[in-house]
Formats: sequence, C-alpha cells, structure tokens
Amino acid sequence: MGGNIGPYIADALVVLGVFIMTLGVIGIMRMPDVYTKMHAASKAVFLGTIGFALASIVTNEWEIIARVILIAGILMITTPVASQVIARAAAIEHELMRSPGAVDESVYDLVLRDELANLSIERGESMRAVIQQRKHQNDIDWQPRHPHVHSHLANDEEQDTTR
Amino acid sequence: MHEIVFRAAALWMAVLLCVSLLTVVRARSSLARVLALDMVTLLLVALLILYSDARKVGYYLDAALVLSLLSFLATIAAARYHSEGEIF
Repeated sequence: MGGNIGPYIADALVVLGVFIMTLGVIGIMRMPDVYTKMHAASKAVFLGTIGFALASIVTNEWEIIARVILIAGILMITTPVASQVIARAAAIEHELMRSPGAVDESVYDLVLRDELANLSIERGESMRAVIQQRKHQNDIDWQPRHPHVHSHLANDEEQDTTR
Repeated sequence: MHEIVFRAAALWMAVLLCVSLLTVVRARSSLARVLALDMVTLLLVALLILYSDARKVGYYLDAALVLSLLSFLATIAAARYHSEGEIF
C-alpha cells in the first residue's frame, strides 16, 4: 500500500460527478414541465462539473488548475442567470405546469382552471394560444402582468393607456 | 485518476450526451428544448475537463471556457427571443 492517495480521491470525485450528472439527465428526461426540468438541470449538471473540476486539482499542474478555477467561477455565475432567464420566459409565456397539483397563480389560470382539467393541450402548445382564443371570444377580462411584453397580444383591441 | 475510471467515465458521459440529445429532439416546448441544449453544452464542458484531467494537458480547457461562455449567451438570446420577441 503506497502512500499516494491522490489518484483515488480523483477517482471518487469523478465517480461522484458522473453520478450527479446522471441524476440531472434522468431529471430532465422524466420531469413533466419546464419548471421542474430546470430544477434538475441547472443544479445537478453544474454540481457534476464542479466535481470534475475538483478532481483536476490532483493533477498538480498549475495551468490546468487555474483554467479549471476560471471555468468553475464562470459557470457558478452564469448557470443561475441562464436558469432565471428561462424561468422568466416560461412565466411570461404561461407555460403549462404539468406536475400534479400545481397551480399557476396567474390571472388566466385562476379563470381557466376549471376548464383546464378537461382541456386537451397538444404537444408544444402553450397557454398563450388558449388565452388568445378565449380572449377573441371576449370571455376573459384580462389584465397583463407584463404590459410591455403583451402589447402585441393587446393590439387588436383598444389601447387602454390608463393601466 | 486511473485509466479504467477515465475510460468508464468518458463512456458514460457519451451515453449521457446521446440521451440528452434525444431529449432535445423530443422536448415538448421550445423552452424545454433550450434548457436541454444548455445541458448538452454543460455536459460537453464536463467531458473536456475530464479529458484534460486524464491527459494532463491544459489546452482542452480553452475550448471548455469558450463553450461555457457561448452556451450562456445562446441560452439568454434564445429565451429572451422566445418570450419578448427581441433580444436586447
């Protein structure tokens, strides 16, 4: 038994990173909607990458360690920002929450909730199409949460500037 | 790191890449597709870090750095274009 334990630590860290990444990939395959997929993807894959980065310290070469620290720092900053941007886009688009028992507490869902149980949503269709169709039937007195974003949806009616 | 662990990890990362590419193809909405593409590039970055660990050379990490920055920009551009119709 030699005293050189470094490669074994690197082995353990790599196996841990691969395991966490496998959990992330399983999550992004199996989760029902964008919000829960984001929960799996953004955290798990980033943590796996951090595991690989820690394993590279064992190589004891400065040019590798410095670059790996740089990559880990950049990922630590950019991954939450990217997830937040995707979550904001999903909230603006009113992506359907497909996980059981989830309630999107926007105006539309509170209006449409009883119908949504019986509604068959095709693949790739978001809430926006349903809302637009219902709005053409003048059923919903709706108020946009993000007026600058929804201005192109409100074009076909009179522009109410007092909002 | 030992050679056998490196080979097994690289093989398993290739399997994960194939599975997440399949997820990109059969995603239900375009935002899920953007999310899966972001994860594909993160897996590629991790694979490059693994290669540079095993081979003990640093130049794989330049590609990993550029790839992580590019995936960040691409994700933000795609998500903002999808939601607001404009990027900036």
